Amino acid sequence: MPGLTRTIDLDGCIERLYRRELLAESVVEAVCAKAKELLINESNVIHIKAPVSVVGDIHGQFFDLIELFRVGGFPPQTNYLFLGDYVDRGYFSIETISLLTCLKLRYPNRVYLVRGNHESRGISQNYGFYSECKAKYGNSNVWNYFTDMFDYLTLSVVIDDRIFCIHGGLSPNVHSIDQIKVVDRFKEIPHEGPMADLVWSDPDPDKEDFGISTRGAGYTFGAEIVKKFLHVNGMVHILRAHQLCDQGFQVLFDDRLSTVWSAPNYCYRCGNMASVLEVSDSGERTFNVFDAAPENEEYREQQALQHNTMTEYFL
Amino acid sequence: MMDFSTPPARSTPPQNDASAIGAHQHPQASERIHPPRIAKIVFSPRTHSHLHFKSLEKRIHTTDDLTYFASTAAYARIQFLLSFISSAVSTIPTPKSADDFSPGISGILAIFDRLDELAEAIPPITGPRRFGNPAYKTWFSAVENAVSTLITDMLHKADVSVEAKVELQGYFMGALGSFQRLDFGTGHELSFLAFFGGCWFLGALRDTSRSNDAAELDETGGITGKEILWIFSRYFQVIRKIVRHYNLEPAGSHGVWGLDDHFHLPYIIGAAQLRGIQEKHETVKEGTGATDPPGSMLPPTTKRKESDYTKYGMPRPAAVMNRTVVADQMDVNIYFSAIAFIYEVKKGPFFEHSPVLYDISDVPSWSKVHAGLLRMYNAEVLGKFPVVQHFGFGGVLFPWTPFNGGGGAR
Repeated sequence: MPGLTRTIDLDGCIERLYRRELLAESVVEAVCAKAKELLINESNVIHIKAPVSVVGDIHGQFFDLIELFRVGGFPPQTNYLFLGDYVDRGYFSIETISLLTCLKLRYPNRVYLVRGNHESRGISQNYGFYSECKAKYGNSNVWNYFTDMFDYLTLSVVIDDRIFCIHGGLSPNVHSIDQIKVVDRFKEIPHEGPMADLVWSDPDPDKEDFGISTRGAGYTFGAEIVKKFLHVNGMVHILRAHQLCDQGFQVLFDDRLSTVWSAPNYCYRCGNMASVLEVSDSGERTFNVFDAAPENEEYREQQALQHNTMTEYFL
Repeated sequence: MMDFSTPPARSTPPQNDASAIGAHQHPQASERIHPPRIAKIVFSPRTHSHLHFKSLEKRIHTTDDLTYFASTAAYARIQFLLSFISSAVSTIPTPKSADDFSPGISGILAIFDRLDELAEAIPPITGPRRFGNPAYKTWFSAVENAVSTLITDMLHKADVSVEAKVELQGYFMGALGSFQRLDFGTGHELSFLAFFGGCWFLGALRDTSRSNDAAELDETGGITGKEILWIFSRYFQVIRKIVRHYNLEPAGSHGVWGLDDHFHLPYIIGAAQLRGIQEKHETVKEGTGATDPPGSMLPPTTKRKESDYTKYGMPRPAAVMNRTVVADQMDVNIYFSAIAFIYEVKKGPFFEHSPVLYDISDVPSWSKVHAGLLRMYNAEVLGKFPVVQHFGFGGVLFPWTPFNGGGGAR
């Protein structure tokens, strides 16, 4: 495999991607292969130190990711923990995940990427990433490279032994964080079990216990479950993403759990704010709230000209 | 592998989901179901006393169930409804009022009016919340309390057995969004199609006083295109209002890569309204060699099929990019009313937030748009587990029984 041994000019790639230029297919292949080599050595539960800025769902809203960096500082000046859902729905999933993957490779100890429920073949085939790859590259190779890489993303991060971070939420099958460490994560996200629950579950502020989730995967979990989990594991807070928040964040259960959401004006219409959560080295948590990025009309007009039709139903 | 969102593992996704579904599509082109058979034999108000209505039950539990779903009577009836509605509204502009509608239809309209009143009476609440407004739940419960009586009234007015209520009410409540998730999507819209279809199958919408000619009744199923358009446009109006009023989330939206965050049917129905006129027009136009710039309103330079529509002009698919045309057309065409809503709620360039609709604007004719939208509906709505998993099946209207090529459950 020529792609595996080839050296990648990461700084060059990052520079290109900041300009929102796509990487060549062969470069994406090499980047994903390198990323797998790096990610395979990460634990299912990574322990990191503050200060770190924590980011929620981005969903291909590339302009807004750049706005987030303007607000929170560009890597590597700021350490980042991304909680998943980089792709689908937005117009720029490829640009977003390409940039984040290159940043991870360039600054492996300053950028961490957790897996979200959209980092899977089943979901991203249906919710936009696959269509986008076909539209922008003319084939699905890039989708294959990225979704193979997704299988290697970690499931959780612990900040300063105090804050437990996942994309979705808790699982009735996971009482102790040690149970996560033994999950075989290098695969497509299954439809049930601990791995599915960690990326799919939602808190329910009106409940105490676990409940059925209307999403059809994962569970809802209430106040008592959160208390017990924190107590058993000696933690003080759960930090997660996965749900749209009008104000960009939501704090529940007497400050025991926060949701961080980083896609402003979601789907160009929800009118919501976004946030990035700064965890200081003293353990303080501060939400930096931001609005949708100012539009760059000139670039967007160019994009219109390049637009690649994908309406197979209408041919 | 039975992950609801995860199709059986394969490295390369299918090129076209429609083909998989198409294999099970009924009716086949050569043997379409005739409305009279369903309307008269199976669901005639006088004969349905022997039918066993029952509470709706979810039957689609895994992606594997989709294959059987495509072979059921329920699926065949949904297909039949789509094609019946599309034919019935062809060349007809959305009416401006509901004058002279049958008692059953005024019964449905009374339900919509009540939904509006309840929304007025139950304002969104202030205070902390994640996204959707919790007042929606209050509204939903109020509707749930009111709707039983309203459906009973409608059935009485139309002289249809009230036993049907158990199924109709299930579809109606399923059409208003998710009480738990505070969202709205095409699954809810599908439930309304079933409610409408159920009422129509039962004869609840037919105006028996209007015509004594049984043949004519059978041909139209006892309902006119105008009436269908009014019912659906009222439904879409109410839902758009509820979505904005209570800030409902897009349910399972595909974002910019889907047709629309919430809806699919208004595009099918609206394209069907324009389809008939354009077909006629295009035939004539080809001979003249006339060309029109995309996005322009076509001047009536050539002979068109006579229709009420003529006086509103005929926008081309490209006209969605022209906000003036959209504003002119939104009250007479359901496709344009959906586009107008997008302009109302979305920020940013149209081609970026709605690339699929943008691409469709480049399709040369409304009949191509319509056919494509139907294929897309079969693949992206009826063929997708996350959407149809919530659809309920009852004993009579949309049964989980094999389609036998005829009117279905007898």
